[in-house]
Parts: sequence; C-alpha cells; structure tokens
Amino acid sequence: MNYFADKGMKPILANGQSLRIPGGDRGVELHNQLFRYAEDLQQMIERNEKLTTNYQELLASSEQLLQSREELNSLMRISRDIHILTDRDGGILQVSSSSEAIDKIDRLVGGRLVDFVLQSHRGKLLQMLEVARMNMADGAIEPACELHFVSQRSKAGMMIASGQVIRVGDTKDLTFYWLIQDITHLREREFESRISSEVLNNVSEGVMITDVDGEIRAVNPAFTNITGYSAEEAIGRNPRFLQSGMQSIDFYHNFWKSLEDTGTWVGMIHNKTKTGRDYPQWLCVTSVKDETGSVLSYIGVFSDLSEMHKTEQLRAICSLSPDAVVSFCKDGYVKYVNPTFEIITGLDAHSVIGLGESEFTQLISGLCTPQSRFCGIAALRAMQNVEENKPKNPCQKFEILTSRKVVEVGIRESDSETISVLLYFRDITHENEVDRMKSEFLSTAAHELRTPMASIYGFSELLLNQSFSAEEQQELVETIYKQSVLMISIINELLDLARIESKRGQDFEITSINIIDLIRDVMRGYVPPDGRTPPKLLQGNQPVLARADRSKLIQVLNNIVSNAYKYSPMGGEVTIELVQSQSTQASEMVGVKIVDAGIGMTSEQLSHVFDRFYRADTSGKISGTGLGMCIVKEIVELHGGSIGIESEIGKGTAVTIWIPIDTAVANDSLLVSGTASLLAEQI
Amino acid sequence: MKKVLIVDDHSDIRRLIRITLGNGFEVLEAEDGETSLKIIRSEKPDLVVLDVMMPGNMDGLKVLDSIMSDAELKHIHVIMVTARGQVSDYENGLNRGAEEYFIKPFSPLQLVTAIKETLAE
Repeated sequence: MNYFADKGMKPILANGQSLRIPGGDRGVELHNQLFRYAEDLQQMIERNEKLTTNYQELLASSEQLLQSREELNSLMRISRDIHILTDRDGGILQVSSSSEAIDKIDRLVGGRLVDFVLQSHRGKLLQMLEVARMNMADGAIEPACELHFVSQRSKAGMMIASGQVIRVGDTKDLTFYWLIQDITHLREREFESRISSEVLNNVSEGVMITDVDGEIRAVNPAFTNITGYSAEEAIGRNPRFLQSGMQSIDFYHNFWKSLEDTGTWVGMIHNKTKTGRDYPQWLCVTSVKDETGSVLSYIGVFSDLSEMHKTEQLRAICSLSPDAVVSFCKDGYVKYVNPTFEIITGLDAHSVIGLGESEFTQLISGLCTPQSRFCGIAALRAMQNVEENKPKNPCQKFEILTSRKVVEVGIRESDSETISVLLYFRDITHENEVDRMKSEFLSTAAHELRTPMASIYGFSELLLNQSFSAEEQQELVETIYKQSVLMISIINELLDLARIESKRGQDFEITSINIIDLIRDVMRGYVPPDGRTPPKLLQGNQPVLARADRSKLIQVLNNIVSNAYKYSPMGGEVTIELVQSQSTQASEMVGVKIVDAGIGMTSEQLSHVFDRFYRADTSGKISGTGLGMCIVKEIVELHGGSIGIESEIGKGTAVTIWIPIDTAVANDSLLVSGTASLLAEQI
Repeated sequence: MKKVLIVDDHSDIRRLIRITLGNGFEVLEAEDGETSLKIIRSEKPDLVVLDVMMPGNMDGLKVLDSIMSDAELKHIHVIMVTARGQVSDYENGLNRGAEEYFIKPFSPLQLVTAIKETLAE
C-alpha cells in the first residue's frame, strides 16, 4: 500500500486535491519529517513482511529436515546394510544397529575396522582407506570392493560383503562413511547356480526344462548328445517333436495324469532322435510349483537305454553261456562271474567277487585234485608271453576234486577301461571222457583183432612148418577160415559203427514202411542154423506203418534174430511179435519183440549188453564180435526209437525195439480199417 | 615128462599151443584165472603159458602175482601170451616175474622154443 505518493512533494489527497499544509515552513518541515518517518515505517513494514515469509519458509523446511532425519534413522534401522563411520585411520566411530552380521562389531566402537576383516582381506581394506584418504574429494565414492568379514553366523565363518567407502568432511576433520552390504547369500546362490549348471552340463542324462505350457526353455549338452537336436533347435518347441509315434494315446493320458496327481512321472518311453532312430529312454518328469501350487515349469531328465539294453544283452549272453566267465576289473579284483562259473566250480558268486588274482588262484587250486591243479593266473599269463609266436591263446586243464569235472581254463587280457583280465572255463569232462573212450575203443578193437589173428597166424605157421595128416590139415584150415570170417565181421561191424557215428543218421533213407511186410521179408531171408526151426510170427495181421530206413531196420532185426539163435544153442522156438503201439511223449511207437528160450543173461551181463566188444558168452563156443547190439542200439535210437531187453538166466531173452509210427499215414489207414470194420459189421 | 599149463579163454589158442608142443609134454588147460590157479596148486606144473585178459575176477596178472607170492609155487616158470601190446603191459609182466612175454599174434614155434629153453635151464 502506498500512503505517500511521492517523497518531497505535497501530499495529495485521495480525491486528487492537494493538501493544504498549515503552519508555514515549519509546518512543511514537520510535514516532511513526518513524511520521512512514514517512509521508514513503510520500509520496516515491508521488511517485516519479508521476514515473516522467510521465517515461515524456514519453519517448513526445518520440519521437513526433522522428518527426513527420522526417515533416515528408521531407514538405517530397517536397512540390512551396515553403515559404519570411521576416522581417517579406520578407527570405528559409529556403527549402525544392523551390524550383528559382523562379529561383536557394535561392542567395539573405538576398535579398528581392519580387525574385523579376514586376514586375507586386510590389505585390501587398508588400500581402500588409503585411496579414499589420498585421492578422493569430499563425498566421492570409489567402486565397491568385495571384503570378507569374520562372522560365526555363516558356515564358512565369514561374511562376504560388498564394501564402499565415502569420504566425508575436509582434511582437518576427515571421516569415512562405509557402506557394507552382506552378499554372502548372493555369493552362495551364485555358487549353487554355478554348481547346478556344471552338473547340468556334465551329466550323461539329458535334461530339458519347459515352461507351464510345455515350451522348452533350456536343454543341456547331454540332451543334444542323446537326441541329436542342438539347444537352438530345441528351445521354444514343444517336446512332442521328440515322439517316436510308438506310444499310445493312453500312454500320454496316464503320463499327464500321474504328473498332475503326484507331480512326477517315471518310466520308459520310446522316442526318436534327429536322425530318425527309435531308442528306449528312461524318463523322469517333475513339475516345479510355486507356493500356491501352480505349476511354473516341468523338468525332464532322461537317459538313453540303448546302451543299457546292449549291456543287458551281453549280460544275458554271458549268463547263458555254456562256458564260465570271470572278469577282473582294472584294479585286479574279480568283478563278475557268470552262473556257469558257479555250476562248474560249485562256488557261490559272492564268495568270489572282490578277490584278488592270487586269492582267486588259491581258491580254485584248492578245489582241484592233487594230480591236476589249476596253475594260476600268473602262470597262464606267463604261458601267453612265452607263446608269443603262436596265435593260440594259452589254456590249461585241471580237475575238480568233488565233481570230478575236467575243466579247461583260458586267459584273455584286455586293454578296455573296465576289464583287465578275462578268464574262461570250459567243462571238458565229456570231451575228455569221449577222448578216453575213443582211445580205449581203439586199443580194445586192436586187442579183439589180435585174437583171431593169433589163430590165423599160428595155425598157418604150423601148417607151413610141420607135416599133418590130411584130416588134421583140413581141421586146421577150417579153424583159419573160421577165424578169418570172424575177423572180417569185426572189421565190417567196426566200420559200420564208425559210419553210423559219423553220419548220425544223415544217410538214412526214411520212408513209410509196413512193419509186418518187413518182418516177413526178414523171416524169409534168414537161414536158421542146422536143425533149428525158422522164426515164428505170433500175430501180425494188422498192418502198421513206421518211419524207418528199410535196409537199416532189416540189419537190426537180422542181428537180433541171429543173437536169439546163437544164445539158444540147446534149441527152442524163436518168435517175433508185433507189440501194440505205445504212446510216448514224443510220438507213437510200434514195437517188435523177438523172444528166445536160450541161456539168458544175469542182470550183471544184461547191464553190459551194449558195451562194445562185450560178449555174454566167453567160452568161445558162440561166435561173435561183441559189436552187434551196439549197432542195433545206435540204429534204433537214430530212428528216434528205443530198445528194451528182458532176460532171465537159463530161461531166455526178449528184445523189443520201438520205432516211431508214421502218424500221417497211420491216421488214414486207421480210418480205412475203421470204415472196413464198420462195413463188415453192416454186412 | 614136464607139465605145461595153458591158460587162455580162447579154445583155438589153447589148441594151437597144444598141437605145437607135440607129445613131449603133459599139457593141461584152463579157460580162466580162477580155474588155472586151482590146477596150478593141485598139479604143480613146471611152466604156465598165461593169457592176461580173461573173463572173471582174476586176470593173468593176478594169477602171476599169486604164483610169485606163494613159496611153494614161485619156482614155476611163467610165460605170458597176451593181446595187450603196450610196452607198459610188457614191462609190467616181466617185472612181476614172468620169464617171457609174447604178444598175439605170436609165432607158436617161437613160443614152444622159449618153453623148451626155459624148462631146460
């Protein structure tokens, strides 16, 4: 407001009229004086107004400041960070309340900050202090450094912190404000995640992580190895592209149901690789959920079972192998034995696995007969080295005491990663027995040939060197002839037997044979010894067809009939009988039974009938080679039939051979005969 | 007249040796080990021609052992005649006390010569 229009001018009233001042000059002077007072007053009022405004502003900002400080204090209280004020030398002046993370730090105001840092980090802290002191302006902040504080609150005994120092104040009154942030958990999490990613990158199992919609978010290198798809090719796609099409809709239905109900699914699934190869996969899918239970993602972990299938196949082959296998691992301990090993040695797998080479050698040697011991792994290995020039792998034979099994053991050394030595054991008991029998047979055969030869040689020598009457001569030559015939038949039968054994029936011409016709042929062709009646067929009107080699079956029947006459020198009837067909598990059989009323055999003799060169008669009165019944048995058995003998000493012997019936034709003939008998009834 | 016992399960062989020996000997025959030992004990022959492989429980080697272990019989000469032609059989027979060992087929004339020489000693 302007009370005075102008300094030094006559006052003008509000209506514009000049004020008439009474009192003359004194009055004007007074007026002017008054006017000046008024002017001063005006100024004072203005100043006061200004001050009032200032004061109000000041008051407001002061309140603001108070509020900020409280906020700061509460901020500091709730802050997880540690705030420390130190002097220029790092002596602790003030510590924020949340500093319990650092051991005893609040109790040690007045101590030095450096003493609360791990020995290895003290230099770093002192350097930070030095930098702040020398190089920094007030309020400047250097980049944060990692500092390790002593702390008993974490497992590692330290708190990992990110530390920053801020210089406060001028050179004279220098303090430092330290902001320490606890990053222990952060570091631990970083470490864990590094480990996790290391694991993910290095496991042999394929891993894929999908989001809740099933879109692949991440895969590991093994995923690529197994499926053939790179991470770039897989990420963003639905795992459906891996399907082989071999799983049913039901399969996937159950898959999702299990995932929803239990949170996991584990099982085998057939998938397809990028190259289109189907492979079995062992898959485990787990859903990852948040606190509320809603699915965040799915993690699938899978392994390729193809190799395992191969290993299983190998295992199966090993376990079915007729040879025993023992493998030693790289460290020289028994790693695996197959079931055949247990059978051959009678040892339990558990008692062998884990044994060292020398322990194993000792164990096996202990099982052997004293004459024939296992020589040991070291010895086998030595043989291998000696026989370097020979490609053959060394082996050794030994005999097991309890089972009398003869075992051949061989060694193979391996450069593979898992196995160092492989021992294989073969049960050669049978081969050994066959070898023994063969050489015994040869020496027996030679012996049997020497006997008639002794007569032939001896009597001819006598005839050449001595003179005999014509009658004596005749007799001696007859003996020579008789023994020559015997020798020929031994040779023939030996060759017969050898041929049967080598061909094993492959040269048999199996046809459908009417057994009754065959028996009649044999009877017609057989010439009984002087004064004996020919064999008699007891019953045989029913035609039966058998599957047999005609000439071989004739040989069999001739042999048996001839024996029947030879072993009944006192006479009596020899009968042939067709025995009613008999069913066995394999097939239906027809029997031919040949009975004599001869000298018979004891049970002891009976048990040797099929031994080669065995002769029930040893008096020499009955001629024979001792091979006939062996041949008969071989031929019958090669037909798939069998032979049975009943005998009683002094009463006679009955031999029955069983030959398979030709069922295909037999049914027809039965039908025909059935129809025939029906017709007969009707007529 | 010297007594010779021929032990062999083959009658032809016994006859061969008997004919070759001629009439200068008293010839006895046995067709198995047990019978031969009975005859040896009762007849005390001067010489036995002995086959090795014979039926029954007693083979030629057992008969030989019985003769050699019996003080009353051990003076009896034994000549083995056998179809067993292995060297080991040959040595086995001689080691047990047989004078000679003939392997079938043998020369009957050589056998008789050996018998005569043995009995002449």
